[in-house]
Amino acid sequence: MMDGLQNLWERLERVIAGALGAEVSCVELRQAARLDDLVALDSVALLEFTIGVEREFSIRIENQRLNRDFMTDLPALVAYLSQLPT
Amino acid sequence: MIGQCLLEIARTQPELPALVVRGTPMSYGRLLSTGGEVRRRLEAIGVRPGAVVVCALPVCWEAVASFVGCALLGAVYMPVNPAWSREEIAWLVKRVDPAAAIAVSDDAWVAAGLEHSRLISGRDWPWPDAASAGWDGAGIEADRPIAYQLSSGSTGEPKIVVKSGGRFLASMQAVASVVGMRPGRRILVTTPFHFGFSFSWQMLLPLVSGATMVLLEKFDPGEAAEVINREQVQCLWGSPVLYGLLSGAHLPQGSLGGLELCITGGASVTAEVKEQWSRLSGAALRQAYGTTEAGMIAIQREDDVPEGCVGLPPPGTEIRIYDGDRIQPAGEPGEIAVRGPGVMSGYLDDDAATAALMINGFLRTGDAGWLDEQGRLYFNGRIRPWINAGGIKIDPVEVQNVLRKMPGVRDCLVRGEPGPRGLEIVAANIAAEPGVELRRAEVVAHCRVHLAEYKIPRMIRFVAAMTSDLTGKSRVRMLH
Repeated sequence: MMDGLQNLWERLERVIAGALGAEVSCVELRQAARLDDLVALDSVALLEFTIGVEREFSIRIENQRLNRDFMTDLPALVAYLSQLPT
Repeated sequence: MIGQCLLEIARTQPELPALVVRGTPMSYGRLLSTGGEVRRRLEAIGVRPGAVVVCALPVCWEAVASFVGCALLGAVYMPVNPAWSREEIAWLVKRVDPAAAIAVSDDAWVAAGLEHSRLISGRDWPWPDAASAGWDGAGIEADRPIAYQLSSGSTGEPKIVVKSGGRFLASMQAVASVVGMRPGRRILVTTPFHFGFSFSWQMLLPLVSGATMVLLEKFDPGEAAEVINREQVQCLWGSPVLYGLLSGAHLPQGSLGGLELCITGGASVTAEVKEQWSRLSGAALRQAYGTTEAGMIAIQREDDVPEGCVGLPPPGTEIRIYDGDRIQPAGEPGEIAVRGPGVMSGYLDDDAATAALMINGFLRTGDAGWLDEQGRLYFNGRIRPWINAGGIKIDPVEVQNVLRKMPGVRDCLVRGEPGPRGLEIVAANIAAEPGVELRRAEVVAHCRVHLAEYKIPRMIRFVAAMTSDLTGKSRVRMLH
């Protein structure tokens, strides 16, 4: 497992602040089904978020997952990140 | 005028590639042939010269052919955001009463009151199999309005900028001479044409120069890099966001080495991005400065210029710096004003707003700056309170008006704040009615009904109260 779940949510909170400039708390993120429920995400912002996640977790997300549905589905994204090798 | 220019290129060099889509080139001859077909379709539904044709399409060759069709007919091409909300579309239909709309989806346009017969589906057109032999240039002789562009207003409602064909063409040709745009040059098209800089510099500039547009239908940094190399793209003209995304995307050093001309505008680029870009491409990032109303005001012609310098005006364009009604000498700051072929004919049906911007034949930009002894312009920031989100101007009043319509909102203040990579983001401080607890998701959902995604506040803060001090600046008391 890559990380504790709480830590993952905190790191996502940091990515959202760093890549998008939005202050969204960890609690709000955990309660939301989708990131775009909480943050306006045009296509450029989605790219910035994706690049931010890749940088924060030092990963390259596979092409088949690089789409709005996956990247904004917070539970699915966290589940994916939690399965990555450390 | 622009239509005639295109006809001339297609007559003399019909096989010259006008654009490339997914590796397949389309010649100027074929593009004009398709443009002629668009013209016939528009005429068949009653569109006449001078009528407005709205084009709500993403980056695609059909959007280019739609412009050519309008230019051949003498209709006014009005590119708008294909992601606009129903409310924004309804506003537009009421405001300009378009004779036709070329769009991906019909629903919102029909709901806004546009007859179904006036809608043309804008995707999956048949690829032209041959260049037409006989192009008809009738209807394009007069220097009539060729395009309407939307500009952030300062009253909460976008303003419609009227551009005339002859002046617009002269402006493009002046810029082409400065940047060396010519047949054989290839420029990457990354941004839909409802963005003013994309319409002017990613579409019209290459079209009137006989250069080639390489269309990137969906932006992804990795794919952009691949297309730049595969299609031997030499020119990039984009907002700082484009360069920031490409610079931050794990691309190997020197991997964009074929690029020769890289221009950015709309907002300043940070030194970090400039340095990253230089490592990635080997090319210097040059700054250009213009507005929808003024066209190109200044463009950097040398690689190394002092900090803040945005270069010289293109040929035929003059810059003055005003302090009130007084012209400032070199070195003294004031409001940037401009006169030249790129300047709009005026705002649509709003002579008072147009007149309010003019001074002695020059158009006031609302931006602050100064000129050095060599006539180079230095940009100092904005005088009017637009938010500049990576080169896209957003009127904070428009966003505030939407937020104030939300049940439970007592007051709000919308403004630009520094965001990632030194670019501004839309930020909103919102005070709720007593006893009401607003949630971020509710605010975002409310905004999404009324605003395009890029206008929705990225930073949302809930505050207890807002007051204005004597300087007019709002103060906020945060909720804990």
